[in-house]
Amino acid sequence: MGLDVIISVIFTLALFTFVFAKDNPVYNTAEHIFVAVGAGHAVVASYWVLRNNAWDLLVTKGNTTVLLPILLGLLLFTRYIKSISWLTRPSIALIVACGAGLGLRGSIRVDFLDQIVATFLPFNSIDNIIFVVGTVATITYFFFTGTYTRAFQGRLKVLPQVGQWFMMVAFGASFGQSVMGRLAVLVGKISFLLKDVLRIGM
Amino acid sequence: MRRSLPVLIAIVVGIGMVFDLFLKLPLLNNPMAEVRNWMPIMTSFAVIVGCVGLLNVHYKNIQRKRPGWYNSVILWAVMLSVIALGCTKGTRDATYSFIFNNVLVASSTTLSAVGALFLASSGFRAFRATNTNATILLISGALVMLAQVPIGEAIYGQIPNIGNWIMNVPNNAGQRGIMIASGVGFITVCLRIMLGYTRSYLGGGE
Amino acid sequence: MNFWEKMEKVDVRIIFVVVIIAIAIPLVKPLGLPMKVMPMSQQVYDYIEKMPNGSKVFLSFDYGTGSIPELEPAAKAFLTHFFRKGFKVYTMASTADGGMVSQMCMAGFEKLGKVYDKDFITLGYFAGGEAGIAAWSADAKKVFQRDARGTPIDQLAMMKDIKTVKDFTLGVTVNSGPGGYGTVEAWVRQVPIVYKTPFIVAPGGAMVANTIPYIQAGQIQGMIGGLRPSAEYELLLKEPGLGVAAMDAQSAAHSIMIAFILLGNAAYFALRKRPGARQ
Repeated sequence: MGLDVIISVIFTLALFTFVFAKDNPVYNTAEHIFVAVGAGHAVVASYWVLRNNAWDLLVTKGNTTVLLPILLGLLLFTRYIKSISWLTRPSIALIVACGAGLGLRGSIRVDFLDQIVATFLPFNSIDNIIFVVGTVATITYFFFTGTYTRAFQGRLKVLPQVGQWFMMVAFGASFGQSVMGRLAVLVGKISFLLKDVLRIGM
Repeated sequence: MRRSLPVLIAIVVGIGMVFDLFLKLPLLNNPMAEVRNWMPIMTSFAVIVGCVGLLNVHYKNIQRKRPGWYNSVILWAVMLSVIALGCTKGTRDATYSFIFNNVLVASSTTLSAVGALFLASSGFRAFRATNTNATILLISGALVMLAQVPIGEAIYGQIPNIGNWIMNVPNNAGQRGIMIASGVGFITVCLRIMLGYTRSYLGGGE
Repeated sequence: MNFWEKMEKVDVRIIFVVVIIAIAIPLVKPLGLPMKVMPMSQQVYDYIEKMPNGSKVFLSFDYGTGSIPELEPAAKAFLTHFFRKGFKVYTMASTADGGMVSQMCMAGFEKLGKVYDKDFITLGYFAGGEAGIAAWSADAKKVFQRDARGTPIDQLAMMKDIKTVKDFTLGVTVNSGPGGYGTVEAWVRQVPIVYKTPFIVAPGGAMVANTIPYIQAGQIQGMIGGLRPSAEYELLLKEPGLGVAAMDAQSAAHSIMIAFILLGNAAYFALRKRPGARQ
């Protein structure tokens, strides 16, 4: 067993102790080291992005257009100085607005128009009928304005109810898939302990 | 000025970013492309600011000798060592790779695996078919779970097809309805930011 | 206390031990249960198989270290298929962890004889999430001034003809879901819709169910969603790997999970029927 496996096993077993003895010192220390390495790696990755995309451009290629984003990025550090913490606002506004603009321009088609168009299937099979009825019923569940709420509480109240059932199927499917994903990680971990540490199986 | 300038930036950049997709005007396209290219730089600074905040929290733990403060000392030492190593030698360095593989990968997969164990126990303790909706959710989840593994096929050969049908028809319908409804909500939130109605990202204070 | 009351009050640690043993048994003694290939995996395989040899494709490692056991089989299966078809492969990552994971993954293929800057390049981590994706799609060389090995982007032969994402024949994201970086929705909003570049996704378990509408709407060309489709893809490639190896243990894990849900509900209904029991 090499040093790499020994270190991996130490951290694996230390963090597994949480399962049997919540909040014990071994787990706490291992967790702090994990957080330190994870956060440290995030800083390192960000450093190299800044080094390659900002510093190199500025120093090696003399490209001064990167001075403004560098300045706006440095202003983010003022959040720790209460008297001038308002200087973070232009940078945050820029990041948020850029994200909102990019999200909006794509979302109108991706999440809205294309999805509505794709819902209009011909009623030539049971699946298509179920699909169209289900989509429309689910959308009616989200009508909260006065006129529609009164209609959907009256004679049309079956529609939001059916919509709710379709949503439950969707949530159940999401749950089933999430369970698969989570258990896959557990299988991988136990496989590591059996194969690489105890050297049995597979 | 302290609040109106950022709101003005949000309005100009937000609206400009949307129209940039639809209009071929160099006067609009070039500045918006430049702003997009700034985002990797600015978000990298934001990540570093976040990590400085983490160090700050743990520094206060050490200063006030809160219970477990020795862990905060360990965190400071490890984090600064990793940063020093990565920034000087790069991420392809053998020692850095060793730490990444055997500490970070091992730890994060273990924590995900621990989550899976708690998921299994919550399946026993909390997932109850108390009403029609919960029953539908559980049946759908169970069938999809069985369809994802060979044992489902071994129990009854049609289970993978049933699972596939659930994913492609009722799940698709439900997810699409949720997507359209939440898409409307997302568009509304983005519009409110771009038109200056939502200012919560500015934080409190003057 | 009767049986059902004991069931309700069982120590959670016993449940953990039962789950671990149930998963360990098929890892030690595999069952070899057969598995058929479902249409979704076949669709992805056929799509890539029909692509001309030598096509330029990019694969983004958008997952963290915690999702490696779940998503690495899909990433490796895609890369195996790409190299088999002689594609030029460009890898990148929108997560900091993914940058390292991509380097580790590609190092494995380099050991098998793939040549850097001839068969593949590792561009590394790009920051900015959706904005980073949008910036990269519009001008690939602006976001990556150097590759993950520190080589200036202009010195890479494989980057010579790359200007925008339109220069790629296919894009793939192996994605663990929401987290502030390049999510599946972000990629779909910025690449296939804007530039019409064909796109395939390999989402983690939690994202599979809500990626299906994108396929049905024709916005993406296919999905390898989760461990079973990854295993099916490996079978189609006739190279069973991590995905196939884990399927027996996965079967045991899912069976135990369903058994616990049924047992818990049986206890709930049995105790609910008792006279004087709280509803």
